[in-house]
Amino acid sequence: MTIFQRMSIVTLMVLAVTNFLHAQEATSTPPQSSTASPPEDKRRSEEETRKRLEQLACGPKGIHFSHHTDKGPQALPEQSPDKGLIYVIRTKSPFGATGQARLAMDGKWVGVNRVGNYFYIEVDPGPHYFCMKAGLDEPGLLSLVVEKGKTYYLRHGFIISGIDLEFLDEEKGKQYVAKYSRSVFEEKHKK
Amino acid sequence: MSPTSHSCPIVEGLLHVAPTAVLFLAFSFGLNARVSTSQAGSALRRPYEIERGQGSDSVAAQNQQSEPGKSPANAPEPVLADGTPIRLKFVRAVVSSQVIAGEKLPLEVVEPVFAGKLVTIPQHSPVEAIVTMAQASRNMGRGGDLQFKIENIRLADGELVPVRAVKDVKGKGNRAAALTGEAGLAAGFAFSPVSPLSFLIYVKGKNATIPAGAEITAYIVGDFQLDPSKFQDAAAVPQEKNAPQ
Repeated sequence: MTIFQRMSIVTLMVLAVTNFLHAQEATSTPPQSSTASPPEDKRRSEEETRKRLEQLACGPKGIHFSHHTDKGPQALPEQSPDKGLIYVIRTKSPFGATGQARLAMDGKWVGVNRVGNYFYIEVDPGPHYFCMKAGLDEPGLLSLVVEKGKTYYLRHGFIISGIDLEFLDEEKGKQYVAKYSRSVFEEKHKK
Repeated sequence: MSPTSHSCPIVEGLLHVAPTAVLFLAFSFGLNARVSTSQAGSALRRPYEIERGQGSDSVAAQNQQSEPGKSPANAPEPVLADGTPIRLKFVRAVVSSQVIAGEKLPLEVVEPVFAGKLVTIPQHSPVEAIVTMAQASRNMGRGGDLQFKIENIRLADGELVPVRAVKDVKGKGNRAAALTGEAGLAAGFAFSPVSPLSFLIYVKGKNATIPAGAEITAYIVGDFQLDPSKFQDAAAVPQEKNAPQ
């Protein structure tokens, strides 16, 4: 199979997947002829919840970060008794390996990771909303009530259908932090 | 590759994969219908919030387990003891995709809690749980996650007492889809338009769901000395069928 044939296959795949995702969105709207109102309410409510969480969590558009990986010795922060500490870890996956993945918390972008990176943030106790975004994919969303003096490990990565975001247990989280390198980033300002 | 294919390899490539692409599109529509159906469920209302009043907690030195209808003979004052269980139930169903951390979930007391002959927490008293983590179900057959805690309960005299109750409810993953999706990825089939494996990774797991009426037990933290004048006697309170005698 030539490179051109492979390119053709990939192009058609992208078209088909886009078509599929559009179809998914279309069917999530209430059907006109449905007589069963409870399922409609539920779907609306899920959508509303997702939109609300997206509004609470995701940062504004047009923010970009410069990024590099610090491969030097890792100095980990001390856990403050009055705050929560969240490690944000990007694990290895076969998809989206080259792109940046940005995390927003409570409507503000707070960091960027590439594959095999992590960064950490100190947060005040209480409810917080997380939005992980990369490229044009749908954002990964999560909400958590942070407790003071506690450490959390938020893992993210890519799967073919989008962003994967979840909390890890302490043991796994520590393993990743020990194995991976710290992400160093800075917001780019337009001149 | 034949020499003619060099003349227009893109067109040839498109023609080569056109039948499989058509199958892909057809299958994607079919799967889309299945996924939408699986997401349909019962209607839920928005979480309502109970206004939390001001209260103070006092810890008594005495430690005793109270039982309904029994009062310790030598105890000067009744005590709501550390570890006293309180049966609670969810007023409505809760789904992990429909709540956000920090929101409150309504519960109510299933049966009255007694300290000696006093009703310290009446039946049907409202209680609230706080969602501490919420995540909707995800692709590749992975389930949602819902964690909540109950921090305190209001006694019949209006005071709040701390309780411990923490629960983590996981939505069931679609194991077959997840495994097949992972296997497909591992085998490099994910991008193959002819393989159904590439579709299965779109199948969602189930949301973590707590049905309406589901019970959970909270436990009093610490001992609380009670002022008998502020509580009703069990004999004066009409008993319901499911309340202990």
